[in-house]
Amino acid sequence: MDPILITFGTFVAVALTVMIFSYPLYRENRIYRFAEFTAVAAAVGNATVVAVRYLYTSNVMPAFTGNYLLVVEMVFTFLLFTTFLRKYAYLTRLPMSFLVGIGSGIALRTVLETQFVGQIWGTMIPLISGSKTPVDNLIIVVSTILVIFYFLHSKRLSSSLAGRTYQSLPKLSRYFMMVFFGATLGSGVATFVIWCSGRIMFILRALGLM
Amino acid sequence: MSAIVRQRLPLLIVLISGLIMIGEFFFNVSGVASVAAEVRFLAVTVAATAMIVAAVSVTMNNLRNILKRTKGQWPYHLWCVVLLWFWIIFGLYSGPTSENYLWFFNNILAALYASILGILVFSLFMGFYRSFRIRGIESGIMIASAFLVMLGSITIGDLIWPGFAPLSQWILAVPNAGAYRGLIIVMAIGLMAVAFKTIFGMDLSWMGILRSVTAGKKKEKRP
Amino acid sequence: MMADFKKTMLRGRNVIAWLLVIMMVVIYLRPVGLPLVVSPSVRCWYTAASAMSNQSKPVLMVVDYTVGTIPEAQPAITVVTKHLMERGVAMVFVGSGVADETSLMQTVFNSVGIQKTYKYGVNYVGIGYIPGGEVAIATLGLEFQHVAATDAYGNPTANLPLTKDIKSHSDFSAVFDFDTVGNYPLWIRNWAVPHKIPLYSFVDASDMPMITSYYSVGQVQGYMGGIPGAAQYEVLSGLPGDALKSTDVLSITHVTAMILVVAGNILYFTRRRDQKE
Repeated sequence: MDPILITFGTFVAVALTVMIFSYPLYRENRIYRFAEFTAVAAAVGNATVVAVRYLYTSNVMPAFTGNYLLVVEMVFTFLLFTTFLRKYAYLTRLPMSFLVGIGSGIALRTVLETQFVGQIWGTMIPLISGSKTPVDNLIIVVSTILVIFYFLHSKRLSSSLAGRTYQSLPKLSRYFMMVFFGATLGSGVATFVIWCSGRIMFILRALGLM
Repeated sequence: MSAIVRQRLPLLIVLISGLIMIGEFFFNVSGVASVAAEVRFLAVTVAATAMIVAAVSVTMNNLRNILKRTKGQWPYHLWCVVLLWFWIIFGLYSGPTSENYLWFFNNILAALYASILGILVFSLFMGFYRSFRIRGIESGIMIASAFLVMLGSITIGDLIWPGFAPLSQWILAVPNAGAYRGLIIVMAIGLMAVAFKTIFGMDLSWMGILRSVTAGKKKEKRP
Repeated sequence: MMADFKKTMLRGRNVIAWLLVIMMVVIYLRPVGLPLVVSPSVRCWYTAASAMSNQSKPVLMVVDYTVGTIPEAQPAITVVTKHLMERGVAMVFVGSGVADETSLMQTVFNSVGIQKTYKYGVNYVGIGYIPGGEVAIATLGLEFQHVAATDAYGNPTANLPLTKDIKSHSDFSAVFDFDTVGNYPLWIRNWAVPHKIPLYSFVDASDMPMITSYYSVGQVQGYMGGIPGAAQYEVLSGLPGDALKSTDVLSITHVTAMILVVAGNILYFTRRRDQKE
């Protein structure tokens, strides 16, 4: 590509970055709003380009080799556009129902094996031997059971000793969940920092400082 | 006829396509597998078409504001529509992997979205200063866990104390893994329940109907 | 106007924002280069990739990140792609998250210069984004040719030497998933567990605590968490990149975050005590 175009492109990217950063570094302003609307148009435009190309290569091109069923399927999905016609908007439900039914069916069969049975099986770890220490295994088993108990228990609590002991279990569950939320927060800082520092790195490179 | 097409037919489609997916998994029948393959591809086609509907929807929303001449806003909406359709026409003409399209993609779309996500860090750090208060044991545990994981993942943590990295790994691998495992199992139960209700027509929220199927029906008295 | 400008710039939010930006600029211009500790999960991934060769079945490289998360995910996919290229491993690139992935995949090809050492259609193929989410992921593993009938350039996959014999999941040696959209559970559910395909996943640093649960039960064979993970892989593979450059920035900003939390709490409790008095 022409070096002038490459340089101009870098200039445009730096300018758009500065426009967006003007909001936290100064305050909301017109150039920030302009950049926001540009972002919306670009994102939707990009998604449309990819979708149209996919439909053309997967549904229209095979029709030239005799597979007309794919074209019929594509025309059926155009019922989604009836959402803009108030009188016929209910027809949108027909193609959507395929997506919903298939998504639900796939989720039902895969979640059961992986996230239900698989995770329960993974919790059945030996408390005496194994690769982790017994204390670690005990903590994993206890924390898993306590967190499940927190969301699934519904027994009315009495003021007896058993009831008061039962009452302390949700508190313990919350402590373990707080460890998880804290770990997520602590890890998540890196994500947000990198999103910002990536743009700083780009600007420094564009200015020839890095 | 209208009621059948509005409600019954979509529910029937959901039931049949859901049962085909489940049946394919549990029963090794060749006929079911080929029907399932075609139905799955139809779902992919629906998802692709929905993305085009988004473009039309954005255009119409912006045109509404342009025609209303919303004060101070309509020039932005006009710019949005013009850029959107220029992008689509140019993208379809040159292709999403061409050098020219990548110029627009990298210098406009990537720059903007990376920056939009990049400014979130300032709100996060503002929240650290203003909102993160240790008000009890629970918040104390949360902040302690956050600090230990942070110190274990950064290079300076190793300089302060070499034990931070193994401690952070332990927190992630033991109490954190156990707690999140409980959450995964509970979420799986919820997801299975929602999927089951959707397939068998007990949950109509995807159609925009928020009432339950049995609402309004009188309960029969048992003898 | 000057008074208004001064008032705006001295707001807490603006002060913190400028402080962060200045810190990042200074650290990037004057890096310290502190040593890194490599985690077992990254080492697992590196070991598995090192064991592959040009005789292995192709690897499915899943480009599942958005344009906004390029600074986080691109260093990871770049270093892994370069590492696999050194070993001569064939790769098929696909996206299942958002529409950006087709162009992002091309950006990766350009940045690693894959065209210089690899032949398209023989050593690598770029399918691009396939819409449909979990349905697309499931269908890719069951009827590959049906849902990926053409690649991102319009070539039928049935005509390309690398993909013409690919029918389903068993034709891949592993899945390397670079995901910041949260699709990794879908790959676990549809590829890793039911079909026993080894899955190695790069995730956002914020998703690292979640993927640990899947890793500890063996549903994921290895993972990288954010830029620290990518930096560790760069150290192991001897291919330094943007991830290593960012580790010092991470260190200083994390310390700043901790100082802000502590300072905020000290101020809060001091003011509360003063009000009570």
